[in-house]
Amino acid sequence: MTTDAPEVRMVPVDAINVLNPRARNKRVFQELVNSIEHLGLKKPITVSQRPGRARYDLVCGQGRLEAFIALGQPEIPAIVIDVPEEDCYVMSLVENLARRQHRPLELMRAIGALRERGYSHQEIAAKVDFSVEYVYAICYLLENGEEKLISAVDRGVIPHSIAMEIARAKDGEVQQALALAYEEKSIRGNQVLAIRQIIERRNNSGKGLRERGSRSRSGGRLVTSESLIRAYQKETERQKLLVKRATLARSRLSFVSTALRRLLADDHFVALLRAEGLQTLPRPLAERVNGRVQWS
Amino acid sequence: MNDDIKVAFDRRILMLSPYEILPSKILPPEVKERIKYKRIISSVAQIGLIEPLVVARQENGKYLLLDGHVRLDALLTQGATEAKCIVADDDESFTYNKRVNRLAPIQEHYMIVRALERGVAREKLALALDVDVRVIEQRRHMLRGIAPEVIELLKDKAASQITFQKLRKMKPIRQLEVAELMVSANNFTGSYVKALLATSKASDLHRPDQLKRATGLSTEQMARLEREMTSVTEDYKELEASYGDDMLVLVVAAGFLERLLSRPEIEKFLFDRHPEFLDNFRSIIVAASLDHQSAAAA
Repeated sequence: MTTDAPEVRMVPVDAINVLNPRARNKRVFQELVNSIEHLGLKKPITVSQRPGRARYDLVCGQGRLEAFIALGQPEIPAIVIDVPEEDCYVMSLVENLARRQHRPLELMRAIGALRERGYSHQEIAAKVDFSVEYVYAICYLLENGEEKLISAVDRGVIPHSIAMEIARAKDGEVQQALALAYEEKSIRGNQVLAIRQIIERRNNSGKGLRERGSRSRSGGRLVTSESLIRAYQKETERQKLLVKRATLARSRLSFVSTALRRLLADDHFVALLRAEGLQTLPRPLAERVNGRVQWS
Repeated sequence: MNDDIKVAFDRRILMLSPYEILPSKILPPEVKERIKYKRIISSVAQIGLIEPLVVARQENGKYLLLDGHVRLDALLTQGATEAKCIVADDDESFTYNKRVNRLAPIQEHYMIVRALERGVAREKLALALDVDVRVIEQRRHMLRGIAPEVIELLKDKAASQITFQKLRKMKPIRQLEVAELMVSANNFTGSYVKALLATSKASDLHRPDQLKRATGLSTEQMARLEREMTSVTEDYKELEASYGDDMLVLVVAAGFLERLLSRPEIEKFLFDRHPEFLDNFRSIIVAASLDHQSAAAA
Protein backbone atom coordinates (compact mmCIF):
# COMPACT_ATOMS: atom_id res chain seq x y z
CA MET A 1 0.00 0.00 0.00
CA THR A 2 1.16 3.51 -0.71
CA THR A 3 0.27 6.72 1.07
CA ASP A 4 -1.06 8.77 -1.84
CA ALA A 5 -4.59 7.40 -1.72
CA PRO A 6 -7.06 10.22 -2.40
CA GLU A 7 -9.37 11.18 0.43
CA VAL A 8 -13.12 11.24 0.79
CA ARG A 9 -14.38 14.53 2.22
CA MET A 10 -17.81 15.99 2.96
CA VAL A 11 -18.29 18.74 0.38
CA PRO A 12 -21.15 21.31 0.48
CA VAL A 13 -23.49 20.53 -2.42
CA ASP A 14 -23.86 24.23 -3.28
CA ALA A 15 -20.08 24.63 -3.71
CA ILE A 16 -20.02 22.20 -6.67
CA ASN A 17 -20.22 23.43 -10.30
CA VAL A 18 -21.69 20.97 -12.78
CA LEU A 19 -19.53 21.84 -15.79
CA ASN A 20 -21.20 19.68 -18.35
CA PRO A 21 -24.76 18.91 -17.25
CA ARG A 22 -26.91 16.41 -19.01
CA ALA A 23 -30.64 15.79 -19.02
CA ARG A 24 -31.68 12.43 -17.69
CA ASN A 25 -34.52 10.01 -17.73
CA LYS A 26 -36.86 11.07 -14.90
CA ARG A 27 -38.00 7.59 -13.96
CA VAL A 28 -34.45 6.27 -13.65
CA PHE A 29 -33.48 9.35 -11.62
CA GLN A 30 -36.40 8.86 -9.21
CA GLU A 31 -35.32 5.26 -8.73
CA LEU A 32 -31.82 6.47 -7.90
CA VAL A 33 -33.20 8.92 -5.30
CA ASN A 34 -35.27 6.15 -3.69
CA SER A 35 -32.34 3.77 -3.69
CA ILE A 36 -30.05 6.31 -2.02
CA GLU A 37 -32.72 7.19 0.52
CA HIS A 38 -33.19 3.56 1.53
CA LEU A 39 -29.77 1.96 1.02
CA GLY A 40 -27.55 5.00 1.46
CA LEU A 41 -24.92 6.36 -0.92
CA LYS A 42 -22.98 3.43 -2.38
CA LYS A 43 -20.14 5.35 -4.02
CA PRO A 44 -18.67 8.83 -3.42
CA ILE A 45 -18.84 11.38 -6.25
CA THR A 46 -15.61 12.79 -7.70
CA VAL A 47 -14.86 16.53 -7.77
CA SER A 48 -11.85 18.64 -8.62
CA GLN A 49 -10.58 21.55 -6.55
CA ARG A 50 -7.80 23.84 -7.80
CA PRO A 51 -5.29 25.10 -5.22
CA GLY A 52 -6.52 28.26 -3.50
CA ARG A 53 -10.10 27.96 -4.77
CA ALA A 54 -13.16 27.50 -2.61
CA ARG A 55 -15.43 25.93 -5.24
CA TYR A 56 -15.31 22.48 -6.81
CA ASP A 57 -15.89 21.22 -10.37
CA LEU A 58 -17.86 18.01 -10.79
CA VAL A 59 -16.00 15.18 -12.50
CA CYS A 60 -18.57 12.43 -12.10
CA GLY A 61 -21.72 11.79 -10.13
CA GLN A 62 -24.28 14.31 -11.40
CA GLY A 63 -27.10 11.88 -10.63
CA ARG A 64 -25.90 11.22 -7.08
CA LEU A 65 -25.33 14.95 -6.47
CA GLU A 66 -28.83 15.86 -7.68
CA ALA A 67 -30.30 13.03 -5.62
CA PHE A 68 -28.58 14.40 -2.49
CA ILE A 69 -29.97 17.86 -3.26
CA ALA A 70 -33.44 16.36 -3.81
CA LEU A 71 -33.12 14.64 -0.42
CA GLY A 72 -32.26 17.95 1.26
CA GLN A 73 -28.68 17.03 2.17
CA PRO A 74 -26.29 19.97 2.66
CA GLU A 75 -23.12 17.93 2.05
CA ILE A 76 -22.09 14.91 -0.01
CA PRO A 77 -19.11 12.55 0.38
CA ALA A 78 -16.71 13.27 -2.49
CA ILE A 79 -13.28 12.20 -3.64
CA VAL A 80 -11.40 15.47 -4.14
CA ILE A 81 -8.75 15.55 -6.85
CA ASP A 82 -6.84 18.40 -8.44
CA VAL A 83 -7.06 18.55 -12.24
CA PRO A 84 -7.48 21.42 -14.74
CA GLU A 85 -11.01 22.25 -15.91
CA GLU A 86 -10.26 20.86 -19.36
CA ASP A 87 -9.43 17.47 -17.86
CA CYS A 88 -12.67 17.52 -15.89
CA TYR A 89 -14.55 17.69 -19.20
CA VAL A 90 -12.56 14.80 -20.63
CA MET A 91 -12.87 12.63 -17.52
CA SER A 92 -16.57 13.29 -17.24
CA LEU A 93 -17.11 12.31 -20.89
CA VAL A 94 -15.00 9.19 -20.48
CA GLU A 95 -16.91 8.19 -17.38
CA ASN A 96 -20.18 8.56 -19.28
CA LEU A 97 -19.15 7.08 -22.62
CA ALA A 98 -16.58 4.44 -21.75
CA ARG A 99 -19.19 2.52 -19.86
CA ARG A 100 -20.52 -0.87 -20.60
CA GLN A 101 -24.24 -1.33 -20.98
CA HIS A 102 -25.26 -4.33 -18.95
CA ARG A 103 -27.78 -6.65 -20.47
CA PRO A 104 -30.75 -6.99 -18.12
CA LEU A 105 -29.91 -10.65 -17.72
CA GLU A 106 -26.36 -9.98 -16.56
CA LEU A 107 -27.68 -7.31 -14.22
CA MET A 108 -30.29 -9.60 -12.72
CA ARG A 109 -27.74 -12.38 -12.30
CA ALA A 110 -26.28 -10.22 -9.53
CA ILE A 111 -29.49 -11.04 -7.66
CA GLY A 112 -29.17 -14.71 -8.56
CA ALA A 113 -25.56 -14.62 -7.31
CA LEU A 114 -26.68 -13.43 -3.87
CA ARG A 115 -29.13 -16.32 -3.77
CA GLU A 116 -26.30 -18.72 -4.62
CA ARG A 117 -24.25 -17.27 -1.78
CA GLY A 118 -27.03 -18.51 0.48
CA TYR A 119 -29.04 -15.38 1.24
CA SER A 120 -32.81 -15.71 1.62
CA HIS A 121 -35.24 -13.80 -0.59
CA GLN A 122 -35.93 -11.50 2.37
CA GLU A 123 -32.25 -10.77 2.95
CA ILE A 124 -31.68 -10.03 -0.75
CA ALA A 125 -34.74 -7.76 -0.86
CA ALA A 126 -33.30 -5.71 2.01
CA LYS A 127 -29.87 -5.52 0.35
CA VAL A 128 -31.13 -4.20 -3.00
CA ASP A 129 -34.24 -2.31 -1.84
CA PHE A 130 -36.80 -4.25 -3.83
CA SER A 131 -39.83 -6.10 -2.50
CA VAL A 132 -39.49 -9.74 -1.51
CA GLU A 133 -42.01 -10.56 -4.26
CA TYR A 134 -39.81 -8.84 -6.84
CA VAL A 135 -36.72 -10.76 -5.75
CA TYR A 136 -38.69 -13.99 -5.68
CA ALA A 137 -40.02 -13.34 -9.21
CA ILE A 138 -36.55 -12.52 -10.57
CA CYS A 139 -35.06 -15.68 -9.05
CA TYR A 140 -37.92 -17.73 -10.52
CA LEU A 141 -37.49 -16.17 -13.99
CA LEU A 142 -33.70 -16.69 -13.82
CA GLU A 143 -34.10 -20.35 -12.86
CA ASN A 144 -36.48 -20.86 -15.78
CA GLY A 145 -34.36 -19.10 -18.39
CA GLU A 146 -37.03 -16.46 -19.07
CA GLU A 147 -34.65 -13.90 -20.54
CA LYS A 148 -37.27 -11.96 -22.50
CA LEU A 149 -39.47 -11.58 -19.46
CA ILE A 150 -36.51 -10.55 -17.26
CA SER A 151 -35.58 -7.93 -19.81
CA ALA A 152 -39.18 -6.67 -19.93
CA VAL A 153 -39.38 -6.48 -16.13
CA ASP A 154 -36.08 -4.62 -15.99
CA ARG A 155 -37.26 -2.07 -18.54
CA GLY A 156 -40.49 -1.58 -16.59
CA VAL A 157 -42.69 -2.88 -19.43
CA ILE A 158 -44.17 -5.73 -17.42
CA PRO A 159 -44.82 -5.69 -13.67
CA HIS A 160 -42.89 -8.54 -12.02
CA SER A 161 -46.09 -10.14 -10.75
CA ILE A 162 -47.52 -10.34 -14.27
CA ALA A 163 -44.23 -11.73 -15.62
CA MET A 164 -44.48 -14.54 -13.06
CA GLU A 165 -48.04 -15.31 -14.19
CA ILE A 166 -46.94 -15.40 -17.81
CA ALA A 167 -43.99 -17.67 -17.04
CA ARG A 168 -46.22 -20.07 -15.12
CA ALA A 169 -49.27 -19.98 -17.38
CA LYS A 170 -49.90 -22.27 -20.28
CA ASP A 171 -50.33 -20.46 -23.60
CA GLY A 172 -54.11 -20.20 -23.63
CA GLU A 173 -54.19 -18.91 -20.08
CA VAL A 174 -51.92 -15.97 -20.74
CA GLN A 175 -54.65 -13.89 -22.29
CA GLN A 176 -56.95 -14.52 -19.34
CA ALA A 177 -54.18 -13.55 -16.93
CA LEU A 178 -53.73 -10.30 -18.81
CA ALA A 179 -57.43 -9.61 -18.90
CA LEU A 180 -57.70 -10.19 -15.18
CA ALA A 181 -54.81 -7.89 -14.44
CA TYR A 182 -56.40 -5.27 -16.66
CA GLU A 183 -59.74 -5.58 -14.95
CA GLU A 184 -58.04 -5.18 -11.60
CA LYS A 185 -56.40 -2.06 -13.01
CA SER A 186 -52.90 -3.31 -12.21
CA ILE A 187 -51.90 -2.65 -15.84
CA ARG A 188 -53.07 -0.17 -18.42
CA GLY A 189 -54.33 -0.84 -21.93
CA ASN A 190 -51.28 0.38 -23.81
CA GLN A 191 -49.06 -1.68 -21.53
CA VAL A 192 -51.09 -4.71 -22.47
CA LEU A 193 -50.22 -4.13 -26.10
CA ALA A 194 -46.52 -4.12 -25.31
CA ILE A 195 -46.89 -7.23 -23.17
CA ARG A 196 -48.74 -9.06 -25.95
CA GLN A 197 -45.91 -8.27 -28.34
CA ILE A 198 -43.37 -9.70 -25.92
CA ILE A 199 -45.45 -12.82 -25.42
CA GLU A 200 -45.78 -13.29 -29.16
CA ARG A 201 -42.04 -12.93 -29.63
CA ARG A 202 -41.44 -15.30 -26.74
CA ASN A 203 -43.68 -17.89 -28.40
CA ASN A 204 -42.10 -17.30 -31.80
CA SER A 205 -38.47 -17.53 -30.95
CA GLY A 206 -38.18 -18.96 -27.45
CA LYS A 207 -37.49 -17.41 -24.10
CA GLY A 208 -33.90 -16.41 -24.77
CA LEU A 209 -32.70 -13.11 -26.12
CA ARG A 210 -30.81 -12.79 -29.35
CA GLU A 211 -27.17 -11.85 -29.03
CA ARG A 212 -26.98 -8.10 -28.93
CA GLY A 213 -23.91 -7.96 -31.11
CA SER A 214 -25.58 -9.50 -34.13
CA ARG A 215 -27.98 -6.64 -34.53
CA SER A 216 -25.47 -3.84 -34.27
CA ARG A 217 -23.23 -5.52 -36.81
CA SER A 218 -25.99 -5.78 -39.40
CA GLY A 219 -26.81 -2.13 -38.70
CA GLY A 220 -23.47 -1.13 -40.13
CA ARG A 221 -24.01 -2.95 -43.42
CA LEU A 222 -24.68 -1.14 -46.66
CA VAL A 223 -28.30 -0.81 -47.67
CA THR A 224 -29.22 -3.25 -50.39
CA SER A 225 -32.53 -3.00 -52.16
CA GLU A 226 -33.55 -6.46 -50.89
CA SER A 227 -32.77 -5.72 -47.27
CA LEU A 228 -34.60 -2.46 -47.62
CA ILE A 229 -37.71 -4.04 -49.08
CA ARG A 230 -37.57 -6.71 -46.41
CA ALA A 231 -37.33 -4.16 -43.61
CA TYR A 232 -40.13 -2.17 -45.15
CA GLN A 233 -42.31 -5.22 -45.69
CA LYS A 234 -41.79 -6.33 -42.13
CA GLU A 235 -42.90 -2.95 -40.89
CA THR A 236 -45.93 -2.84 -43.20
CA GLU A 237 -46.86 -6.40 -42.21
CA ARG A 238 -46.63 -5.47 -38.56
CA GLN A 239 -48.87 -2.49 -39.08
CA LYS A 240 -51.32 -4.34 -41.35
CA LEU A 241 -51.69 -7.21 -38.93
CA LEU A 242 -52.41 -4.83 -36.11
CA VAL A 243 -54.92 -2.89 -38.20
CA LYS A 244 -56.69 -6.13 -39.10
CA ARG A 245 -56.89 -7.35 -35.54
CA ALA A 246 -57.87 -3.95 -34.23
CA THR A 247 -60.68 -3.50 -36.74
CA LEU A 248 -62.07 -6.92 -35.97
CA ALA A 249 -61.85 -6.39 -32.24
CA ARG A 250 -63.59 -3.06 -32.54
CA SER A 251 -66.49 -4.40 -34.60
CA ARG A 252 -67.05 -7.36 -32.27
CA LEU A 253 -66.94 -5.11 -29.28
CA SER A 254 -69.38 -2.65 -30.72
CA PHE A 255 -71.74 -5.53 -31.50
CA VAL A 256 -71.58 -6.80 -27.91
CA SER A 257 -72.16 -3.30 -26.52
CA THR A 258 -75.14 -2.62 -28.77
CA ALA A 259 -76.70 -6.01 -28.10
CA LEU A 260 -76.27 -5.72 -24.33
CA ARG A 261 -77.60 -2.18 -24.34
CA ARG A 262 -80.77 -3.37 -26.05
CA LEU A 263 -81.11 -6.39 -23.79
CA LEU A 264 -80.65 -4.29 -20.66
CA ALA A 265 -83.53 -2.08 -21.77
CA ASP A 266 -85.76 -5.15 -21.46
CA ASP A 267 -87.06 -5.56 -17.89
CA HIS A 268 -87.58 -9.25 -18.41
CA PHE A 269 -83.90 -9.77 -19.22
CA VAL A 270 -82.76 -7.63 -16.29
CA ALA A 271 -84.94 -9.68 -13.94
CA LEU A 272 -83.38 -12.86 -15.32
CA LEU A 273 -79.87 -11.51 -14.75
CA ARG A 274 -80.76 -10.62 -11.20
CA ALA A 275 -82.14 -14.07 -10.54
CA GLU A 276 -78.87 -15.56 -11.76
CA GLY A 277 -76.76 -13.06 -9.80
CA LEU A 278 -75.25 -11.67 -12.99
CA GLN A 279 -76.68 -8.16 -12.86
CA THR A 280 -73.26 -6.53 -12.42
CA LEU A 281 -71.35 -6.20 -15.67
CA PRO A 282 -67.54 -6.26 -15.40
CA ARG A 283 -66.55 -2.62 -15.12
CA PRO A 284 -64.66 -2.13 -18.41
CA LEU A 285 -67.59 -3.72 -20.26
CA ALA A 286 -70.17 -1.63 -18.41
CA GLU A 287 -68.29 1.52 -19.44
CA ARG A 288 -68.58 0.53 -23.10
CA VAL A 289 -72.22 -0.44 -22.83
CA ASN A 290 -73.15 2.81 -21.11
CA GLY A 291 -71.24 4.68 -23.76
CA ARG A 292 -69.05 6.49 -21.27
CA VAL A 293 -66.03 5.65 -23.36
CA GLN A 294 -66.21 7.58 -26.58
CA TRP A 295 -65.17 5.94 -29.82
CA SER A 296 -62.39 7.86 -31.46
CA MET B 1 -34.42 18.91 9.60
CA ASN B 2 -33.55 16.21 7.15
CA ASP B 3 -32.36 12.85 8.25
CA ASP B 4 -28.82 12.16 7.26
CA ILE B 5 -28.43 9.82 4.35
CA LYS B 6 -26.38 6.79 5.23
CA VAL B 7 -22.92 6.53 3.73
CA ALA B 8 -22.72 2.88 2.75
CA PHE B 9 -18.93 2.62 2.42
CA ASP B 10 -15.76 3.19 4.41
CA ARG B 11 -14.46 6.75 3.93
CA ARG B 12 -10.89 5.53 3.82
CA ILE B 13 -9.86 4.71 0.26
CA LEU B 14 -7.58 1.69 -0.03
CA MET B 15 -4.83 1.19 -2.59
CA LEU B 16 -5.03 -2.54 -3.28
CA SER B 17 -3.04 -4.73 -5.59
CA PRO B 18 -5.31 -5.84 -8.46
CA TYR B 19 -4.28 -9.42 -7.61
CA GLU B 20 -5.84 -9.19 -4.15
CA ILE B 21 -9.28 -8.54 -5.67
CA LEU B 22 -11.59 -11.43 -6.56
CA PRO B 23 -14.12 -10.83 -9.34
CA SER B 24 -17.70 -11.62 -8.28
CA LYS B 25 -18.65 -12.75 -11.77
CA ILE B 26 -17.03 -13.96 -14.95
CA LEU B 27 -17.36 -11.51 -17.83
CA PRO B 28 -19.30 -13.07 -20.72
CA PRO B 29 -16.65 -13.93 -23.36
CA GLU B 30 -18.41 -11.92 -26.10
CA VAL B 31 -17.99 -8.78 -23.98
CA LYS B 32 -14.31 -8.60 -24.89
CA GLU B 33 -15.17 -8.27 -28.57
CA ARG B 34 -17.25 -5.17 -28.07
CA ILE B 35 -16.22 -1.61 -28.83
CA LYS B 36 -17.22 -0.43 -25.36
CA TYR B 37 -14.88 -2.95 -23.74
CA LYS B 38 -11.96 -1.79 -25.87
CA ARG B 39 -12.88 1.81 -25.12
CA ILE B 40 -12.78 1.15 -21.37
CA ILE B 41 -9.41 -0.65 -21.65
CA SER B 42 -8.01 2.26 -23.63
CA SER B 43 -9.42 4.93 -21.30
CA VAL B 44 -7.85 3.22 -18.28
CA ALA B 45 -4.54 3.17 -20.16
CA GLN B 46 -4.84 6.86 -21.07
CA ILE B 47 -6.26 8.37 -17.90
CA GLY B 48 -6.20 5.65 -15.26
CA LEU B 49 -9.12 4.94 -12.96
CA ILE B 50 -11.43 7.92 -12.62
CA GLU B 51 -13.89 6.46 -10.15
CA PRO B 52 -12.54 3.91 -7.67
CA LEU B 53 -13.39 0.20 -7.83
CA VAL B 54 -15.86 -0.94 -5.19
CA VAL B 55 -15.02 -4.02 -3.12
CA ALA B 56 -16.40 -5.88 -0.11
CA ARG B 57 -14.12 -7.21 2.59
CA GLN B 58 -14.55 -10.93 3.10
CA GLU B 59 -14.09 -13.00 6.24
CA ASN B 60 -10.87 -14.53 4.91
CA GLY B 61 -9.36 -11.06 4.49
CA LYS B 62 -9.70 -11.07 0.72
CA TYR B 63 -11.65 -8.49 -1.26
CA LEU B 64 -14.63 -9.29 -3.46
CA LEU B 65 -15.13 -6.96 -6.43
CA LEU B 66 -18.62 -5.43 -6.62
CA ASP B 67 -18.22 -2.73 -9.25
CA GLY B 68 -15.63 -2.34 -12.02
CA HIS B 69 -15.03 -5.75 -13.59
CA VAL B 70 -13.86 -4.46 -16.94
CA ARG B 71 -11.66 -1.81 -15.33
CA LEU B 72 -10.03 -4.47 -13.12
CA ASP B 73 -9.42 -6.48 -16.27
CA ALA B 74 -7.78 -3.42 -17.82
CA LEU B 75 -5.54 -2.89 -14.77
CA LEU B 76 -4.44 -6.53 -14.81
CA THR B 77 -3.70 -6.40 -18.55
CA GLN B 78 -1.51 -3.35 -18.01
CA GLY B 79 0.28 -4.95 -15.08
CA ALA B 80 -0.79 -2.14 -12.74
CA THR B 81 0.44 -2.63 -9.19
CA GLU B 82 -2.31 -0.81 -7.34
CA ALA B 83 -5.89 0.32 -7.73
CA LYS B 84 -7.90 2.75 -5.64
CA CYS B 85 -10.79 0.97 -4.01
CA ILE B 86 -13.82 1.87 -1.94
CA VAL B 87 -14.79 -0.72 0.66
CA ALA B 88 -18.56 -1.17 0.72
CA ASP B 89 -20.50 -2.00 3.89
CA ASP B 90 -22.67 -4.54 2.07
CA ASP B 91 -21.71 -7.26 -0.41
CA GLU B 92 -24.35 -6.87 -3.15
CA SER B 93 -23.22 -5.84 -6.63
CA PHE B 94 -26.65 -5.21 -8.15
CA THR B 95 -27.19 -1.55 -7.22
CA TYR B 96 -24.02 -0.22 -8.88
CA ASN B 97 -25.05 -1.09 -12.41
CA LYS B 98 -28.80 -0.98 -11.95
CA ARG B 99 -28.72 2.67 -10.96
CA VAL B 100 -26.81 3.88 -14.01
CA ASN B 101 -28.74 6.45 -16.02
CA ARG B 102 -27.54 5.84 -19.55
CA LEU B 103 -26.49 8.75 -21.71
CA ALA B 104 -28.82 9.15 -24.71
CA PRO B 105 -27.01 9.99 -27.97
CA ILE B 106 -28.48 13.51 -28.04
CA GLN B 107 -27.15 14.17 -24.52
CA GLU B 108 -23.79 12.76 -25.55
CA HIS B 109 -23.80 15.20 -28.46
CA TYR B 110 -24.48 18.18 -26.18
CA MET B 111 -21.74 17.13 -23.77
CA ILE B 112 -19.20 16.83 -26.58
CA VAL B 113 -20.20 20.19 -28.05
CA ARG B 114 -19.81 21.91 -24.67
CA ALA B 115 -16.42 20.30 -24.02
CA LEU B 116 -15.16 21.43 -27.44
CA GLU B 117 -16.56 24.94 -26.88
CA ARG B 118 -14.68 25.16 -23.60
CA GLY B 119 -11.44 24.54 -25.43
CA VAL B 120 -10.88 20.79 -25.03
CA ALA B 121 -8.90 19.64 -28.09
CA ARG B 122 -10.66 17.21 -30.44
CA GLU B 123 -7.55 15.07 -30.52
CA LYS B 124 -7.46 14.78 -26.75
CA LEU B 125 -11.10 13.66 -26.62
CA ALA B 126 -10.59 11.23 -29.47
CA LEU B 127 -7.59 9.68 -27.74
CA ALA B 128 -9.33 9.35 -24.38
CA LEU B 129 -12.40 7.76 -25.96
CA ASP B 130 -10.35 5.62 -28.35
CA VAL B 131 -12.12 6.88 -31.47
CA ASP B 132 -11.01 8.59 -34.66
CA VAL B 133 -11.12 12.41 -34.70
CA ARG B 134 -13.70 12.10 -37.49
CA VAL B 135 -16.07 10.37 -35.07
CA ILE B 136 -15.82 13.34 -32.70
CA GLU B 137 -16.64 15.65 -35.62
CA GLN B 138 -19.62 13.50 -36.60
CA ARG B 139 -20.95 13.60 -33.05
CA ARG B 140 -20.42 17.35 -32.93
CA HIS B 141 -22.58 17.90 -36.02
CA MET B 142 -25.03 15.10 -35.32
CA LEU B 143 -28.08 17.36 -35.04
CA ARG B 144 -27.34 19.58 -38.02
CA GLY B 145 -30.49 19.84 -40.16
CA ILE B 146 -32.70 18.12 -37.58
CA ALA B 147 -36.00 19.84 -36.70
CA PRO B 148 -36.19 21.15 -33.11
CA GLU B 149 -39.42 19.23 -32.41
CA VAL B 150 -37.68 16.03 -33.44
CA ILE B 151 -34.75 16.75 -31.12
CA GLU B 152 -37.20 17.30 -28.29
CA LEU B 153 -38.98 14.03 -29.10
CA LEU B 154 -35.79 11.96 -29.24
CA LYS B 155 -33.74 13.71 -26.54
CA ASP B 156 -33.76 10.80 -24.12
CA LYS B 157 -34.20 7.99 -26.67
CA ALA B 158 -31.59 5.52 -27.87
CA ALA B 159 -31.75 6.95 -31.41
CA SER B 160 -28.29 6.53 -32.90
CA GLN B 161 -26.01 8.50 -35.18
CA ILE B 162 -27.47 6.62 -38.20
CA THR B 163 -30.99 7.74 -37.27
CA PHE B 164 -30.00 11.38 -37.53
CA GLN B 165 -28.03 10.83 -40.75
CA LYS B 166 -31.21 9.47 -42.34
CA LEU B 167 -33.59 11.99 -40.76
CA ARG B 168 -31.45 14.82 -42.10
CA LYS B 169 -32.34 13.80 -45.66
CA MET B 170 -36.03 14.43 -44.96
CA LYS B 171 -37.92 17.69 -44.80
CA PRO B 172 -39.00 18.72 -41.26
CA ILE B 173 -42.62 17.53 -41.56
CA ARG B 174 -41.52 14.06 -42.58
CA GLN B 175 -38.81 14.04 -39.92
CA LEU B 176 -41.43 14.59 -37.27
CA GLU B 177 -43.70 11.92 -38.72
CA VAL B 178 -40.87 9.39 -38.74
CA ALA B 179 -39.75 10.32 -35.22
CA GLU B 180 -43.31 9.81 -33.97
CA LEU B 181 -43.49 6.40 -35.64
CA MET B 182 -40.18 5.41 -34.06
CA VAL B 183 -41.42 6.43 -30.62
CA SER B 184 -44.74 4.65 -31.09
CA ALA B 185 -43.08 1.43 -32.29
CA ASN B 186 -40.34 1.91 -29.67
CA ASN B 187 -37.90 1.05 -32.45
CA PHE B 188 -34.84 3.26 -32.91
CA THR B 189 -32.74 0.91 -35.02
CA GLY B 190 -30.94 1.93 -38.19
CA SER B 191 -32.84 -0.55 -40.36
CA TYR B 192 -36.19 0.84 -39.26
CA VAL B 193 -35.31 4.45 -40.05
CA LYS B 194 -33.79 3.33 -43.37
CA ALA B 195 -37.06 1.64 -44.30
CA LEU B 196 -39.00 4.75 -43.33
CA LEU B 197 -36.63 6.89 -45.35
CA ALA B 198 -36.98 4.65 -48.38
CA THR B 199 -40.75 4.85 -48.21
CA SER B 200 -40.87 8.62 -47.88
CA LYS B 201 -42.48 10.54 -50.70
CA ALA B 202 -40.05 12.24 -53.07
CA SER B 203 -41.61 15.59 -52.16
CA ASP B 204 -40.71 14.96 -48.49
CA LEU B 205 -36.99 14.66 -49.24
CA HIS B 206 -34.35 17.31 -49.78
CA ARG B 207 -32.54 15.37 -52.52
CA PRO B 208 -34.95 12.75 -53.87
CA ASP B 209 -32.80 11.75 -56.87
CA GLN B 210 -29.83 10.92 -54.72
CA LEU B 211 -31.80 8.58 -52.52
CA LYS B 212 -33.44 6.63 -55.32
CA ARG B 213 -30.04 5.93 -56.84
CA ALA B 214 -28.65 4.78 -53.53
CA THR B 215 -31.42 2.25 -52.87
CA GLY B 216 -31.31 0.69 -56.34
CA LEU B 217 -35.10 0.55 -56.56
CA SER B 218 -36.99 1.59 -59.66
CA THR B 219 -39.31 4.58 -59.59
CA GLU B 220 -42.35 2.31 -59.90
CA GLN B 221 -41.21 0.11 -57.04
CA MET B 222 -40.67 3.12 -54.85
CA ALA B 223 -44.04 4.61 -55.75
CA ARG B 224 -45.79 1.36 -54.86
CA LEU B 225 -44.00 1.08 -51.52
CA GLU B 226 -44.86 4.69 -50.74
CA ARG B 227 -48.55 4.28 -51.49
CA GLU B 228 -48.86 1.12 -49.42
CA MET B 229 -46.93 2.52 -46.53
CA THR B 230 -48.93 5.74 -46.41
CA SER B 231 -52.35 4.11 -46.34
CA VAL B 232 -51.37 1.45 -43.82
CA THR B 233 -49.69 3.96 -41.57
CA GLU B 234 -52.77 6.17 -41.44
CA ASP B 235 -54.99 3.29 -40.32
CA TYR B 236 -52.32 2.14 -37.94
CA LYS B 237 -51.98 5.46 -36.18
CA GLU B 238 -55.72 5.74 -35.76
CA LEU B 239 -56.19 2.27 -34.30
CA GLU B 240 -53.02 1.79 -32.33
CA ALA B 241 -54.14 3.88 -29.41
CA SER B 242 -57.38 2.00 -28.78
CA TYR B 243 -56.28 -1.51 -29.73
CA GLY B 244 -54.91 -2.63 -26.37
CA ASP B 245 -58.05 -1.48 -24.58
CA ASP B 246 -60.41 -2.95 -27.17
CA MET B 247 -58.76 -6.36 -27.07
CA LEU B 248 -58.99 -6.60 -23.34
CA VAL B 249 -62.53 -5.35 -22.99
CA LEU B 250 -63.37 -7.95 -25.62
CA VAL B 251 -61.80 -10.74 -23.58
CA VAL B 252 -63.62 -9.49 -20.50
CA ALA B 253 -66.85 -9.31 -22.54
CA ALA B 254 -66.42 -12.83 -23.90
CA GLY B 255 -65.91 -14.13 -20.38
CA PHE B 256 -69.12 -12.43 -19.26
CA LEU B 257 -71.07 -13.76 -22.26
CA GLU B 258 -69.80 -17.23 -21.52
CA ARG B 259 -71.15 -16.95 -17.98
CA LEU B 260 -74.51 -15.71 -19.34
CA LEU B 261 -74.88 -18.59 -21.75
CA SER B 262 -73.96 -21.12 -19.08
CA ARG B 263 -77.29 -20.34 -17.39
CA PRO B 264 -80.04 -22.33 -19.14
CA GLU B 265 -82.72 -19.73 -18.30
CA ILE B 266 -80.81 -16.93 -19.96
CA GLU B 267 -79.82 -19.05 -22.92
CA LYS B 268 -83.45 -20.03 -23.43
CA PHE B 269 -84.57 -16.40 -23.22
CA LEU B 270 -82.10 -15.39 -25.91
CA PHE B 271 -82.97 -18.41 -28.04
CA ASP B 272 -86.67 -17.47 -27.95
CA ARG B 273 -86.46 -13.70 -28.21
CA HIS B 274 -83.11 -12.79 -29.79
CA PRO B 275 -81.71 -15.78 -31.69
CA GLU B 276 -79.48 -13.45 -33.79
CA PHE B 277 -77.77 -12.22 -30.60
CA LEU B 278 -77.30 -15.76 -29.35
CA ASP B 279 -75.51 -16.89 -32.51
CA ASN B 280 -73.23 -13.90 -32.51
CA PHE B 281 -72.47 -14.19 -28.80
CA ARG B 282 -71.46 -17.79 -29.37
CA SER B 283 -69.17 -16.93 -32.23
CA ILE B 284 -67.57 -14.11 -30.22
CA ILE B 285 -66.85 -16.49 -27.34
CA VAL B 286 -65.30 -18.98 -29.74
CA ALA B 287 -63.36 -16.26 -31.54
CA ALA B 288 -61.99 -14.90 -28.28
CA SER B 289 -60.61 -18.29 -27.34
CA LEU B 290 -59.31 -18.87 -30.89
CA ASP B 291 -57.67 -15.49 -30.64
CA HIS B 292 -55.71 -16.60 -27.60
CA GLN B 293 -54.57 -19.66 -29.40
CA SER B 294 -53.57 -17.82 -32.54
CA ALA B 295 -51.94 -15.05 -30.54
CA ALA B 296 -50.06 -17.68 -28.59
CA ALA B 297 -49.10 -19.60 -31.71
CA ALA B 298 -48.44 -16.59 -33.95
